[in-house]
Amino acid sequence: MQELAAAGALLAAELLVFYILGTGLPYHREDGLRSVSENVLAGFFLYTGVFEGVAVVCTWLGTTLTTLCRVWAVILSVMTAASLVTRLGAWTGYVRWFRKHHRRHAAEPLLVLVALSYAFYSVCAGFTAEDSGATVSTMTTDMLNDTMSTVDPATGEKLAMMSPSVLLNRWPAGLSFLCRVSWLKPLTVTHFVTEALVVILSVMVLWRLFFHLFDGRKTKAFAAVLIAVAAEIFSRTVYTPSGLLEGCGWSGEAVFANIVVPAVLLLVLMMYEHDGKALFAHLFLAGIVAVGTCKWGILLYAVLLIAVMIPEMIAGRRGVHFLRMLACLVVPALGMTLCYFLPGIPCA
Amino acid sequence: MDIYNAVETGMSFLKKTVLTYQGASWMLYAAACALALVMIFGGRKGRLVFLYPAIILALTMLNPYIYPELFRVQGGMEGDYYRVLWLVPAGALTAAGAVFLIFRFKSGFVKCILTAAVIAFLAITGEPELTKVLPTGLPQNVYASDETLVRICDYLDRHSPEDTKAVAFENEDYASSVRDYDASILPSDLLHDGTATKNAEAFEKAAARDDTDYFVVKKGSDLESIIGQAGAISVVTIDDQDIYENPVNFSK
Repeated sequence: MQELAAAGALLAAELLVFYILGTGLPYHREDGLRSVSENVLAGFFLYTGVFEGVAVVCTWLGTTLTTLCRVWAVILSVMTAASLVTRLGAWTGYVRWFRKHHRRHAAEPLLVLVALSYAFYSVCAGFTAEDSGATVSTMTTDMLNDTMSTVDPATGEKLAMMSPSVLLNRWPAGLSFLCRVSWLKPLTVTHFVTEALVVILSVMVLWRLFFHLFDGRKTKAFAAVLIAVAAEIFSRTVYTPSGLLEGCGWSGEAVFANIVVPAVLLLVLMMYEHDGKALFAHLFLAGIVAVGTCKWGILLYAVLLIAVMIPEMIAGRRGVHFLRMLACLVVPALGMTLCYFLPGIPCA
Repeated sequence: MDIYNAVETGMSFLKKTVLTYQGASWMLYAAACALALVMIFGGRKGRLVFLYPAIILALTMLNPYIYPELFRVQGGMEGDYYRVLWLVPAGALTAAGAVFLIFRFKSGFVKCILTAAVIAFLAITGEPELTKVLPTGLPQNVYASDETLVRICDYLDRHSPEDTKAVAFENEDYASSVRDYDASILPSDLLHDGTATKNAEAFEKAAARDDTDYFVVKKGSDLESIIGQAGAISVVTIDDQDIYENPVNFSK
């Protein structure tokens, strides 16, 4: 029970940190306000994207997991403090907005209920899943040996070479960081905290996607979220992202399929509406997250971005807009170059 | 479960992928219908987000003619075709298509009834993850390790003074899968070293240099006689496997 309470507290703390970090990112709206879900999603991409950069450098240099945790704790504290100080207005602005709007529509509280129910369902389904192998074994091995992917979880032997895709995939290191700071077991952090977090974030990104798709009509957006969640729960297929969400929602692949892919579609939609250059920072961060969460993400993010760029090209939107989208492909392109042309990196 | 290979199976690959991974395969049909609805009622935004990317992917990465050719060069990704399907979020697409259709009606009551009907349809025809496993029980031997191997591991855990044990298995399947069941065992290659297992004298010398704690060999095999002559101590027989201690290691 104590562990469950600590896991719930860690989940709430993560969402709060994401919200604070999200307020620190540039705004795309003229009124300077962003909804809670937008802030949390932006914060998630900022957190995961910056962690990916720090963790790749630390892994490349051959530092220990403890060193990475200390470095990341300092960076995260600085980022959170900076967001709090520079964007204090967002908090008071949100309180004003909430007082003004909360009575108008029941969609938001119902949405929270749907997200929490879906998270509870997925945690229950996830506890029965047998597929916790890769992520959890990497975490436990790294924590036991105080290493970062330099020990083979299957044999317990130190590796001489590391695959570039392993170097780039730092998602398990992020989960190990959570274990270190919370003293929770890897199984609790993956099967409970991260599973619930990924489900909640996936509902948030769906909500924002439908909100923008249906021109801000909350009833339509809420009905669409309900149907999408029902389709995900009852489809249970590996060729839709929901199979990952319920079977192993803590894995990087689940994050890519359920958060990054809809988020890219959402950002494209928002760019269509606003043409705000701040959105490209989010798209760029989404690319880094895609590279860091799973090795398929490197290729699939690039494919998806090209697939959404082509219609815009045909529609005549080129120039700076097009160049910015191309810039978002830089990180995945570097990742692909490393993965396909570098046979391995000697472990330091 | 077989992993189907796009290069080998060509056009029938998509069908085999769907059949193999089972689940509620109607999701693909629902997504296809939703695409048609988005095309008709979706407006510019709907087409931009769902329709055009889906068409481009269908012509390129999702095309069963083109995909094998793309990945014949790269290699190693032939069995992962289904991952490309993540790029078309079928659940979100189905929901968008359904809402575009349902909200064509004027009456709020009809909208509510139709939304509930769609959810009910999904629930009745679908197959949720939890129905597979209820009533829930504690998983036992989920990786389906060989029962003899499980008994060997349990015996070594109870009787070995060491927390981690280096064990040489004659059976290669045991060597490759033992850590799926017991992480305290480090597999050793000593019994698969042709020079070391040539005769008893060579084995004695190799075992003296090696850190292997136990040898697990099949009862009556050639290796057993070599190990016996080399001075290894027989400790127990489990099913058809004999377990020997490395005397040099234990006398240290």
